[in-house]
Amino acid sequence: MRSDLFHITPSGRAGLLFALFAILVVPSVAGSQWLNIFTSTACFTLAVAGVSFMYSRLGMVSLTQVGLMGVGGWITLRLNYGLGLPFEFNLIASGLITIVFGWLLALPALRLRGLYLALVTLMAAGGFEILFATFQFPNGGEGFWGVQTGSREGFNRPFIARSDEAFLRYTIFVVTLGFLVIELHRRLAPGRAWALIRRSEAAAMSAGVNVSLYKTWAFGISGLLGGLAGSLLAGSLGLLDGGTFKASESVMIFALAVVGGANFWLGAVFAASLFRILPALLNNWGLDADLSLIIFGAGLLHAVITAPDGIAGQLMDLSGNLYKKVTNRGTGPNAGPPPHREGISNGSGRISRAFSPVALRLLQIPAHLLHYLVGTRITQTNPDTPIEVKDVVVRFGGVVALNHISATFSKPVSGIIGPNGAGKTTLMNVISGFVATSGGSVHAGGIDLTALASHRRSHWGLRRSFQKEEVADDLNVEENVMAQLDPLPFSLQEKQDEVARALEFVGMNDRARKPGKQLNSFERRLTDVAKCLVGRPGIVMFDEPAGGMSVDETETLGSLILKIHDYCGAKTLVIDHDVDLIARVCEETLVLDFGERIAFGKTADVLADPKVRAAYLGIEEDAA
Amino acid sequence: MLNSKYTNWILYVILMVAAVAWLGWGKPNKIVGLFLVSGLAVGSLYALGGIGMVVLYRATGVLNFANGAAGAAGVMTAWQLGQWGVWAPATWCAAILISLAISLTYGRFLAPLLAWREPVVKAVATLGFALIVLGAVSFLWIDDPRRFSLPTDKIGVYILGMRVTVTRLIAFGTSVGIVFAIWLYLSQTTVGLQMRALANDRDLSALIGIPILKVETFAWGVSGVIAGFTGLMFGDLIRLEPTVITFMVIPSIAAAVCGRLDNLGIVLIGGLSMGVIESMLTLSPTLKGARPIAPFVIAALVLLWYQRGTRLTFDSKD
Repeated sequence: MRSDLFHITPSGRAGLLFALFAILVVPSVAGSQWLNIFTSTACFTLAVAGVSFMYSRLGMVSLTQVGLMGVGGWITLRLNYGLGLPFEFNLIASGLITIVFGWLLALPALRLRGLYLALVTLMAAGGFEILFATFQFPNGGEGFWGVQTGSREGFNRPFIARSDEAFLRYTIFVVTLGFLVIELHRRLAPGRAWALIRRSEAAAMSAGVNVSLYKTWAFGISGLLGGLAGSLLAGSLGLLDGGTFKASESVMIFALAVVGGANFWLGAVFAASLFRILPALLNNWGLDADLSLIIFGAGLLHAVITAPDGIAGQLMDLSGNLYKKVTNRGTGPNAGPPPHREGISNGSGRISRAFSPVALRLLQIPAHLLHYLVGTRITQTNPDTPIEVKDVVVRFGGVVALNHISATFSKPVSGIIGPNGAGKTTLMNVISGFVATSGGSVHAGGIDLTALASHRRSHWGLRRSFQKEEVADDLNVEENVMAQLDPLPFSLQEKQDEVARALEFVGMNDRARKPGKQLNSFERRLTDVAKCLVGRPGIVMFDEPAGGMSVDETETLGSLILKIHDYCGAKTLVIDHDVDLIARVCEETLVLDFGERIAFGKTADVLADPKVRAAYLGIEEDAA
Repeated sequence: MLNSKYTNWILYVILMVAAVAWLGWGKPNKIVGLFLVSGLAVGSLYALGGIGMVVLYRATGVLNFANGAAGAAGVMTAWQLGQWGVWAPATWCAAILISLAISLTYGRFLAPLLAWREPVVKAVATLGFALIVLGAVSFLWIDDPRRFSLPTDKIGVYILGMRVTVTRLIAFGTSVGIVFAIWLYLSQTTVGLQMRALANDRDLSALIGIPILKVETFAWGVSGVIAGFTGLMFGDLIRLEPTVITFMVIPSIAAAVCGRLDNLGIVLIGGLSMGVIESMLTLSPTLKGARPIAPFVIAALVLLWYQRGTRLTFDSKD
């Protein structure tokens, strides 16, 4: 994990080459019109990057990016013309203020997802468009609004970048810094949290991820990049116009991010080039603007249909294939992802290995600060106290899913069984905090779990797996397990040791670097188990761990479950339909049927109970 | 459950009455009435656009940004034919046919290629198509002030002492009529049943033998016809300019969002309310500037109101 942090991916390398080209070659050959076009392309690259990472890392679509650019530009112009402040200050102020706007946009994202979220952000973009049209940009002039379209009274560019050429270099430098900000996030705890959120919010919460915080954070970063882009654009032109920041342009930016390839850095460069350079080229060739609209539309449609990973994806596939042909390297089971694929850190970091420990330590500072602010505390759990479920009631509308269920689980491994729809998973969801109860409580280790938010329960030491294996495709095995430890206040060394120990325990240490998307279902299940064992767990819950597993695999799982208590002292709850597994691993078992508790006690006794046989195995009570 | 449903409606009525009363306070009744009627007419157009989108979205999972462009192409054709002296009703039919053809072209040949992508990407693809159509239309008819008017503009009826043009009545009547007709169609016919099945679960529908392509094509057709009609009305009541009509999809989407891309009745009411509030805002000197934002603000608030109290944002398939 440590060496991956400073690894540069092929797409990143290509992006850096591109930036170098733009810094060194473009200013000396381009005329002033093209310099402006390249500068604005660089600005939009940054804005696109903000949209791309939200889409590719979190699966969230923001259609407000151009509106946020407008906000950044507005603030820069206002501070420049109204107060005469230096550009650097304006740039930073714009970035910080747009972070706040980004946070505001995140509010709907805490409740919405997918198309609806996209539509709400589109509505916000419409709002920005109209605000800009109404209040105009402060391009100089008197008064607070300072509205004067078309004026250009001495915009203070940074003193190191007064000329157009120098400002292009300056812009590219800031854009590169912006990319670094995202990349660092991606490779550290936030990136792992985002990958989990993208996979499933429930899984993220049960891994202790504060979903609201990380979503808001992502919107803030996206806002920051948009604001910086707008500020730089204002710096390049000295004045802005409401027509640049229309809602339809925000949609276009997103569309181009997909076409360029949202998974790749280079994709943002392609997208911005299509947005700015292509129309300028078509215009230069004397093509009618409407015709270029047609070409543009057709290109967009073509790219969306034929290149799911975007242009950058196609290019990277191509270069990856060439690379493979040239070096004739095969990919074994342990070889990691194909060399071109970003998103999963792989390979050894050849760069800066010497100073990486120092840098890592520095990078940990904000994380610790964040933990301090968000207040992650864990109470040492006492392994000997039982899990007490008291009088839990859950209603879904008129259906009573759990009817005054009580049980005290005091053995190392306990089972919950019952026919489909009995309320087993609902009970687990109550313990996890995903389902609101109409009454009752769950106590463990001396505290009332029901009083804690879901992710806090995970910090406390509650772990669970789901019926579907929740392993983030974007992360490798090690990172998936690490994500569970990220919110906890242990040192990096402790975390890494614990991950390694858990992977060894489940037998996945030889596949620690294998990316999530290449795992088979048993490996995914084992990764899930490893996730449940790190960070001093107090309770581990498995929801149908043997579902879809072969006999041998179930056997292995059963042995692992039996060893959990000795391994980390946690109590385990297991739901499964495999009665043999339950009989083998669980000392005591709770049986539910239609939300009622029909039996609880030693597993052998419970399984012999005629009521249980009738409900669960479908045998008439008399016959039994 | 029932309770919260009633609460929603009561809250809606109170808010609506309060908004209209507040904005219209101290103004002569006649003026208020006039703005109310014009608001209802514009609102019907938002609603119509929204209904076309929802019918399509439910059956195909595609949010079609190209609806507005198809309508624009239709109404420009009608205008052109009118200039050439073609009999007016024939030009209207031509408008609807053009819009239908555009919608079907996309639905039959391009949309199936993207069937496996997520909804946002599908929506983005229709944006590409919208640009092609818009580009072609703007290329054929360069920017020029034009007017498109229906003969019904000149006929007025007096309702409560106010003169209302028949065109506005048609816009309003059609939006209500279409909602009713579609509701009837969905509940009474086999294709309607199949469309409902598709809206519910596409994979299962395919398994039980519903001819997906056929049903989808039908939905594209219906939405194309609605888009054509909406385009005609936009051209007449608001402005005859391809770009303006194309991007009228955004307030239409706002109306569709009010009905959660699902409930046509609420789309209608949402669209009408947006139109009315937008129009009534003209009466307020301070809020006049905020007029065009009204649909967005309303849609965003409605969506958030729906989602109140939920903790997790599960996808439908989670």
